[in-house]
Amino acid sequence: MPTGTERLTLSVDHVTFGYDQRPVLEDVSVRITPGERVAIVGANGAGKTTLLKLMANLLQPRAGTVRLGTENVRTFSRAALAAHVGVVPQELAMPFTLAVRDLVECGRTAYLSWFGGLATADRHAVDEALAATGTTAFSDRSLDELSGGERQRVVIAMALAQEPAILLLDEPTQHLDLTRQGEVLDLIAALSRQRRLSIVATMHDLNLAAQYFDRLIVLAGHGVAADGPPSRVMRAEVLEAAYGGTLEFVTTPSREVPIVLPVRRPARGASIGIEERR
Amino acid sequence: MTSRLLLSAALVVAIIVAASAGAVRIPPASIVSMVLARAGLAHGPRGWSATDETIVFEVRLPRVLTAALVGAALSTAGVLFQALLRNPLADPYAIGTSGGAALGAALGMTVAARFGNTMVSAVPMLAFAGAVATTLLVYGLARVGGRTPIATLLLAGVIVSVTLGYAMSLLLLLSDRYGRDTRLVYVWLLGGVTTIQWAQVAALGVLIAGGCSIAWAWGRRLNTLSLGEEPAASAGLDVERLKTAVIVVGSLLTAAAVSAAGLVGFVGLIVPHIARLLGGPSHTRLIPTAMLGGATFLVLADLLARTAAPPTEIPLGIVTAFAGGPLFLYLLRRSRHAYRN
Repeated sequence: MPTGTERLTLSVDHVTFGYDQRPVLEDVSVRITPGERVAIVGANGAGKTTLLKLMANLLQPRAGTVRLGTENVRTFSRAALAAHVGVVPQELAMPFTLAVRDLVECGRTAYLSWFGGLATADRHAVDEALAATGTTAFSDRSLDELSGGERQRVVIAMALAQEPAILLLDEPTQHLDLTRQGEVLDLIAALSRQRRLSIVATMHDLNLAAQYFDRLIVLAGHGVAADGPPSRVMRAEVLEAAYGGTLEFVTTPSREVPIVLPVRRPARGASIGIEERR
Repeated sequence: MTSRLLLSAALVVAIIVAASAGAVRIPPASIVSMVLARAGLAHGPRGWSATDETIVFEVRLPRVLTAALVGAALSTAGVLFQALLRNPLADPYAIGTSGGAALGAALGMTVAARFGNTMVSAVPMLAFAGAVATTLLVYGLARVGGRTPIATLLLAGVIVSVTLGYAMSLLLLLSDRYGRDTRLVYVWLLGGVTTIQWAQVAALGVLIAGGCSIAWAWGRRLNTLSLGEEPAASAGLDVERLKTAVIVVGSLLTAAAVSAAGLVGFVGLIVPHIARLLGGPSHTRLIPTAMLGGATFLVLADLLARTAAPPTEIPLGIVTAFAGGPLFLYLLRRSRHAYRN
């Protein structure tokens, strides 16, 4: 029986990865210590999801190793790894949509006996995961009857039912409205504090990432362009190079870290043309 | 739970009705008394003739129970292939597994005809080999980047099935030279449960009950597999091992069904579809529902095949095709959007 009670460090050591001839990551090293909340940011195609999948042993590095504690993740069985590392995928497409409880029970796959039944401990973990994510009320509903925010909480519940020490989330706020984005990120942060869970999430939205995570890893040019607390990363010299463009930084009294926005260029062609016609 | 209790009751009623109907009508009450008397549970006066008893125990019950077993096997195989290919249209007939089993079985029959009855055990073994090989071939052909899109699946299934069909015709032409009566094989190919010995029913029962039980025990793992390969792996599932096991057990069930009843199409499509409407898509409930529903469906279909146009027997495969073909087209049409990619 795998147990996930230990809190281990996840280390990516000198990892290189590419699809066919196209390199994505070259010689990347990062360490995620227990209880840390880390966001992976970067431009489209910078390798955010690739790095997350390497951490989950869903992709194998060409060179370098990913370690959990001192062991290479490749030496773990799927079940043993699932008891340490839970993954919340970007999209969950099912040919037949399961009910919420059936889906969360999938989080206990690693603990199933050969005969495939659920033990008391499994039912307890499922109930607990549903309660912790506030999804108990609709546990009998089908997943496609739920809103985007509710669905995301259910998928988090499934990963939580694995009782992992590390939770990896791929774009957890994608397709959600502003309030729901905040709710999901608050939930993740609260779970991390209560259980000393390490969190690694890929994030598109830099401002949300800076607001909710303690540490940002910026990927650019096949590697780590910056790695540190938001106050050190949310700077023009770091982000303009990583995202390749001019950015505007807005400081507000209520926030330690500036808000970053794209710079709006004076409209040339189109609007000038309209004014001329007037 | 209630739907499975109702289905169990429906299966028992269907078996009794099917055993009572035929050229010689035997009242359902007599059938129940006969079975109880044989089991040593009733010692009342006998209200039936010895001929009736022979008809029920030597002709009808073995046939009816074989139909039930074949129905359970094909329905469970359908559920397994649908979970493996993540596609509700994957039926053992549509993806070519049945065709592969049939070619293997026909090869076995030809060998048996050529070298005598010592080779009879070659029939189920070659059926199994044919089923596994075809499933692996279609699965390999239909997969594109870790997914099994409906277009490639159906195309691969159709092309492989058609090719196997012609291979079968060639085999029959060649076996004709050995003086084998090919009409028997043609009738068997159209699908149908013939009267078989109790020993064969028992062997079939052990094989099919075993395969279905394993599938049922995997219910939760099949749910996890339906999330997709990467999410399933990160939830702790050994995806490759389960997929291999599903191909082996699904092919075993199909081969057992084809050996006993020839090509009976669409059962693995119709029954899981209705079972999902009754008990939802979770495999822990779907598999027992599909087993019971499939057994009931095929007992009734065989009853219809036997009694609709006496004294002619309509091949069972024709009955299930008339029921399943339209449903298949309806599902294909309805799923256009969901399976666009």
